[in-house]
Amino acid sequence: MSNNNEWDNIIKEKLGAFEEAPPTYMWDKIASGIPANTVKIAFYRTKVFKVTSIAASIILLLGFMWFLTDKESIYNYRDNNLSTSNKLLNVDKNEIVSFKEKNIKNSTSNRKITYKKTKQKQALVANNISKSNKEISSKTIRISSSNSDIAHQNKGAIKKHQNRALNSYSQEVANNSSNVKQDEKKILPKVIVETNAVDIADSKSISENEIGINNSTSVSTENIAVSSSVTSEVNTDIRVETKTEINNSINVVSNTQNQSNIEIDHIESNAIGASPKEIPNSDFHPKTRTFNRIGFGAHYGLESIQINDNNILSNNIDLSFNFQNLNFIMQSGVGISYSKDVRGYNLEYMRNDYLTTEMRFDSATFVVDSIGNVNIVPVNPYYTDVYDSIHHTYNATYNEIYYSLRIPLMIGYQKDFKRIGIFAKGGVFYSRVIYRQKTAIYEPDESSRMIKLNYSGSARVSNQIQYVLSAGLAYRFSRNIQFSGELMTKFYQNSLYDNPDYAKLNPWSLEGRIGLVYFL
Amino acid sequence: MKRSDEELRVLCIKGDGNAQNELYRRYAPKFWGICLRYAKNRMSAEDILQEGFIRIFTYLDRFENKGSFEGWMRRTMVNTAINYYKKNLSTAREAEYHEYMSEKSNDADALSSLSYQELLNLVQKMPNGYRTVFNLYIIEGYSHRDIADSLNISENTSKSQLSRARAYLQMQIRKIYGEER
Repeated sequence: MSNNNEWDNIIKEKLGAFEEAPPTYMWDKIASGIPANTVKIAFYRTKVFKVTSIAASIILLLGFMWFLTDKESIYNYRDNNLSTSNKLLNVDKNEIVSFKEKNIKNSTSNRKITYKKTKQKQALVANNISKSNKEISSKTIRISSSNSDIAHQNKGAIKKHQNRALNSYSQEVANNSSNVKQDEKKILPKVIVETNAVDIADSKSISENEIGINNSTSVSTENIAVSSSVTSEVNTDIRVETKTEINNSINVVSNTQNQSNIEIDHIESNAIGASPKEIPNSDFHPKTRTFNRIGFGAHYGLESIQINDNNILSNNIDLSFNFQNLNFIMQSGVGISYSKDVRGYNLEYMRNDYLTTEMRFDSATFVVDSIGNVNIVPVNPYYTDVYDSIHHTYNATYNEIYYSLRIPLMIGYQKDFKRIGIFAKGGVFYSRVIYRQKTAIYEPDESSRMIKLNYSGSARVSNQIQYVLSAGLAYRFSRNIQFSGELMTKFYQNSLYDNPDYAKLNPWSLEGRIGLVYFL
Repeated sequence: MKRSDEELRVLCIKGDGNAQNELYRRYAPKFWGICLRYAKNRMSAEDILQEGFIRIFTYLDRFENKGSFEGWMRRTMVNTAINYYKKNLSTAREAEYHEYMSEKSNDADALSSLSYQELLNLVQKMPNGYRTVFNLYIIEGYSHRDIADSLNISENTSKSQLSRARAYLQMQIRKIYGEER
């Protein structure tokens, strides 16, 4: 045994550490056999994945923080002094969505105000309406007084107001004041007229508050119809300064009746005695519109890419961030697309194939008999199979699967008709191949030697810019959930394949896309 | 500036031809020695080296940083060499050399005096089965169990092949020195 170890060590020392440069032509043979595009990096190990995951985490974190923000806190004011009185309207955290004007007979001007509930429920108490009006009005007076000082300083800004209704308002008040009945004037303090004047004078400021504070609180009274001058009170209430007093009333009557939307659209005959029944009880008003809306959605699209008479299907899934300001819409996000190419390959290999079986022997015994004949007797005969290396070629196809990250950015216009809206968008998509996977190819058996493996076709270009035009329909299931279906066409800036044959063949595609968006 | 093996590996995966060439130049001399030991002649050694490097470049992404990269490449090359003769190993019956087994011998001195090329020539002249087991056991340090698994033979067969390979080598050395004396 020790003899063997000594041998082994000598042999290992002599043979194991030996190095010698192979023939110089070997590299050319090896290089010609290396398959092209052997890129198969695990997706989670790519830089794209790391950057994308960080960006997605930040977006999710910001979205989550925004969602958790206590947006009602600024309205939490209480005034115990008013807690015992009944209030006409209680509108908390609402937005003035539309502001319509229409003429009613005998030239009295009414304004239609629509409120939209965002979170808290609204309440309405119908009894003792006139008293409530007085109280609210009286508070308006105080506010108006402060505004009047501003008004004197800002008279020059009146005509700059973008809302025509507000610009022309003071004139209407002057025209309509004579049409108000005498007894109704008793209900309405005359100072309201002053309020009107102040409102309009400070219209620029009011307008900014009205638009800028989307969740601002607003209160209207039932005797809007009595006189156009009351309408001005609405405007006054839009002022941020009224917020505290208005919210007091909410706290008092919030349990009386739940009301998500309140639309006041009337009525000169029964304004003061208005019943709650006259106020719409619907929870959903398609006509109501908000200034700013933010939503998150998920979309699926099936894209047919047309290139050089080929049709490549791509499945796309996007998570979107949506922003809407009146008719303006914007959509961005991040998505993944999946598609595959069918490609061919050629495999050359050598295999030791069986040829025949031969009998061999190591030695022979010569036997000489007494007569002198010589006979040859084989010793240790054995059989061995004879193999030879045969060249084989194998042609077949395989699938090359591509996963791409895509980032859309689109802006557009959306027109709503009650629940249904139509929209058109345009923008760009950036996409990048993040993972490429080949399906298995033929593997010769273990006795074979692979010589050369050639793939036909070309790999895809990693980075793509696509210009997008889109049109579709949106359907609002509720205030928060919107379904959309659209047809997109894309024009690729680059060729799809990294191959001179495709250099000038920029593909285009059609994509059908559906999605659900949840608006906050 | 010399790039590390890991840098070269990543670049090779991306299909960088220069990196592939650099990796080849760095390790081809070592692997060429392996191929010569496992092959019966230089032509077969070239075949093994070519296929071994093609396998290395094709399956670079399968390396999982368990152990050294060089070790992984070396195992790939050895496995390629094993596969090269595997078919013959399972069917061909080799000649017997029991009669040359020596219980005590001072052939170690003779072995030491052989040059690398002389020893390599002797190894290359061994029957395929002997040579493969001989290389795996003595040079690579495989156990008979590992060899049996790799070549799909029994452990006893592996031991027997190794014993015969040693005997064969002794006989050849005696022939050389016998002729000289």
